[in-house]
Amino acid sequence: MGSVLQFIKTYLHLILFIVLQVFCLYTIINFHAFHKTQFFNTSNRITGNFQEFINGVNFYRNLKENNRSLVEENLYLRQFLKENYYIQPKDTFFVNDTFFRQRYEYVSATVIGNSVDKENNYLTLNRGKDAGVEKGMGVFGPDGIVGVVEDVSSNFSLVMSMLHSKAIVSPKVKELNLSQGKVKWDNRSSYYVYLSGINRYEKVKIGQLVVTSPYSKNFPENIPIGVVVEVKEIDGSFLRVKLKISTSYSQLREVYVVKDLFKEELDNFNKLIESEN
Amino acid sequence: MKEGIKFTFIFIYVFLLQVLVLENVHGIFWFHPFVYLFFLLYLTPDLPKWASVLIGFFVGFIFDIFLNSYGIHASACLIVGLLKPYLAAGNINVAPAREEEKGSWLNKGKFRFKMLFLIVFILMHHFVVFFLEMLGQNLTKAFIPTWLGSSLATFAIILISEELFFKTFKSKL
Repeated sequence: MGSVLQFIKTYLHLILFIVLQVFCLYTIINFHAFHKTQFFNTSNRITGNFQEFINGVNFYRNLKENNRSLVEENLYLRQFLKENYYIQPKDTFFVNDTFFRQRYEYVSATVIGNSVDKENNYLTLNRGKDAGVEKGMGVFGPDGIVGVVEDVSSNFSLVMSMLHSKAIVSPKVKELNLSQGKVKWDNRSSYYVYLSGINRYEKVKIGQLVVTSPYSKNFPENIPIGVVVEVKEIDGSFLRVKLKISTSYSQLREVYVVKDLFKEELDNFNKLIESEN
Repeated sequence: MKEGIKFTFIFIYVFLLQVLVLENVHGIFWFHPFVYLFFLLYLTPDLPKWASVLIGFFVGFIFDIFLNSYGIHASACLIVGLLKPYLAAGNINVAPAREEEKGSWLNKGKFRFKMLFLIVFILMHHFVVFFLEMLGQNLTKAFIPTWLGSSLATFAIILISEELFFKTFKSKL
């Protein structure tokens, strides 16, 4: 104890200097917009590069598991190849190229930073503005939805995970074709989310798959959210449905960012509705 | 006691000069002198080191508030406050300076030391201030000319101020 006090007494001016200098730097960063931007850009670049390096090392650990999920996804996509379909010959037919218009485009990305144990969890992706990623785009992985892009820099993007207190998704119970309620995380387990706002007369059962609804702003329809594991009645008129999340966040590696080609058009309509209300 | 009154007057002088005069002149000329260094550098060096650091911080902080530069001047003055006792103690015998009731402690040493002392601290202080303000941007066109020009202006004003306080009013203080 005596030696500690002696140390403090000897180096009091240095300790004071360090403490006050830290306070000064904190004040500079917080009260000057230019300094704040420079600081966050630099720190984002450093942490982004560091996380990319760490993830490069970790990548080899999960290589086997990642390959398995990619193979499964490939298998699923192969079903849609035209070689798999039989073309029925017809005497006359119409060719209408404008009938099927592409609505969604996808950008593949790798998760280089991820948290699951905080109250508000985020992921960092190695794709940013330069790859066409924009704020508000949905992100999903091979097993289901992941989150929504919250912020983008030139080469990286920050994704608000489903495991975030503000994350809300429009769901659809696939078997019942029921698009009702909303899915939210309860800030506890990283394996479960809750579906609320479903009428108690709906026949929601354990084992049913919940996917994204056609009304979802950020995702295409039918992307898995989770599987029903528990159904409870609350307030006498609504159901609270516990879902096991399809995506395993701790093993997440390859994801897809959804670009809605109709987003601007739809947003203009929504603004019109909001201005009327 | 007399020392205390003297430095209170000096502080009021540098405060009024900086806030009321130099801050308005700054808009006209491209350089930006910081005359409050006069107070810090001429402050008696036989203070404890921790007191020198604290005084440096508070002087910088007060001017930060009035110059809207939150933290920048405090950070630069902290460095001056930390290093000043080391440089002063290594080059000058402080004891005779205290015995002298009039005049600055800096005048007790050799002229060369005094000039070197002022130039080193003024350049160092201005470097930190302008570096933090500009964050290394426009190095050749803005940073270096402003840094050197402002340092020169500060140096000149400090020497004039010294004449004013330690020689003209020598008998009164």
